[in-house]
Amino acid sequence: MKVYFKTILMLIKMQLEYRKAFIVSVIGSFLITFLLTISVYFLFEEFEQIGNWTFYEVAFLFGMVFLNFSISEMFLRGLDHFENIIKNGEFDRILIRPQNALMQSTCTEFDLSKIGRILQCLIVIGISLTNLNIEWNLYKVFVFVLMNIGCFIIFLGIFILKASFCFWTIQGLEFMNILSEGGKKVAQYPIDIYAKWFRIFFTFIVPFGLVNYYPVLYLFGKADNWYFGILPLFTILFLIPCILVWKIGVKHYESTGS
Amino acid sequence: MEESIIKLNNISKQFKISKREAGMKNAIKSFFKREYKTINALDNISFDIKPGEIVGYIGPNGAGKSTTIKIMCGILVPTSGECIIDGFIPWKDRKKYVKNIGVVFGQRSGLWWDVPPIDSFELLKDIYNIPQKEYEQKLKELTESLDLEEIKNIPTRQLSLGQRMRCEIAAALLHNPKILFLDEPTIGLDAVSKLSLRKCIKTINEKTNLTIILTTHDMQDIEALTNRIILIGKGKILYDGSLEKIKSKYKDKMKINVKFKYTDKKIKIKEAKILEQTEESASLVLKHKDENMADILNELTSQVDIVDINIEDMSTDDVIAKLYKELKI
Repeated sequence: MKVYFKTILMLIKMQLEYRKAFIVSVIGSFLITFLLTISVYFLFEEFEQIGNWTFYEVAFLFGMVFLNFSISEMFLRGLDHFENIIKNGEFDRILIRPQNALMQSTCTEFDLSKIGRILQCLIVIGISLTNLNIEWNLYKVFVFVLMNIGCFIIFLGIFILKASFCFWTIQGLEFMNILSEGGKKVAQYPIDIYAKWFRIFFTFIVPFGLVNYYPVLYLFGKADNWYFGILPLFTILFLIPCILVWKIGVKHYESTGS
Repeated sequence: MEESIIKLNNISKQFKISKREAGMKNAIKSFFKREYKTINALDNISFDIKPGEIVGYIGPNGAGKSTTIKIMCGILVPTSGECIIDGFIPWKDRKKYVKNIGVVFGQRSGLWWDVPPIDSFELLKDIYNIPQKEYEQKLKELTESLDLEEIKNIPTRQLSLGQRMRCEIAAALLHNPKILFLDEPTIGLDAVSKLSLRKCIKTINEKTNLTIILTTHDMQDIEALTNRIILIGKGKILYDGSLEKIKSKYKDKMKINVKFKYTDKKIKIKEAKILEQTEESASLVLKHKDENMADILNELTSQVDIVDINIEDMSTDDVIAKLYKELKI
């Protein structure tokens, strides 16, 4: 872990070397997110409500999912661009260092400019929360933190899976973006507005429902089941097979050297 | 006899590659049904290397050099055979094993590009878990032998290739490995940088008894650093021994050009063949590679009044090229 953070620190240092490029990309990432946020607002101008959900409720979900997606993009950039690591032989170097290969691959890149997005997501979450009249207690704070951790874990799993496929295909697979980009889009809205099979997929296969829908029902007082709040813990069950696929991928690499 | 530090025994490696003929039609066909061809990248490779040895691992492109290095670094698992390096099987227990080796890939940097080398060194200290005291001492030692004082605080991207390569070697040696793999370390370097790099490598080897395996296409690297070469071609080891021995094999190809004062006497030397002779010059070759050059020169001096003499030795490059041709690799 120490090595991880020191490497990240070094990468941050490297990005700050290019000051102008950095400032421009922070502003860029802020603006793009801003447009997206506005689009949610306009959607509600038209419809006032989606299902049983009000604007601030959806804005809260949107902010939370986008926040964790941005954090993932910031910290997991190396996995996102893993095909480059394979192509330019950088993975050989990772294997000759006495540290975990997945950890090393993760910290080959760090995208500090996503800080613009993260800030904005925090603002959106903040505004939503002040307009939502949630009866806060210690458990609900815990649930809120857990939701975010769970959401990050799902993205982590998706990014690992996406990277793992590079061991076989060399190219990053576009269809994996369905999971990361698509998952992000889907999870921005409460899943009860979708068709049933869709809901099942995003509850049991890629469990976005466990980190937004159910805990949020509890958080907003739409349901009283306290255990909805700890469902995000089960995202670990999604992460484990992803790491397994990664391990198989590394084994495959060692026997082909592709 | 000293124990070997590197021991390869009948290492073979097969790759499956997809076979495909040219043309769009075949491209589409192979998309749906791919035919695979197995190639033997390495075919029963065996050799031993003793601690402190420098070995030149040479062969034409695609001969299997990189594959062997990758197996010895634990990156690739061979199809069969055994390999024991410093008591480890490289591809098992990778994390423990790699602490014993340093690797420099000439074409790829192991340093972080936008920060000075010293920052990379600091990070490597943590990656390899080097105690602070050992780190400081080793850094001081390497700074001296690789002459890094002036360059270790300049961002890596601003260093010249030669400077960078010295830093790369330092980065590979910080954790005090017993074995160093140098994969084409002098590629792209200018003459001065090459010379200084060779000197550095030689000094480090002598000082620390570091075992070095060097792959290169530059025969002068080999001549400057080692006398033992392992020649590989088409996945097989074709020669393992001294460079001198190969060179002497082609001694009968050496041409002696001699100029002398006017004479119409024909030169006659038992051990040499006269290729041509004019009234003031001649050129001759040894009849047999075991002949003694000194005898021939003596004979020459006794027969003519020598003004100038030169021996056209085959360069190592020529020798190796000839060898590749002869072995059909």
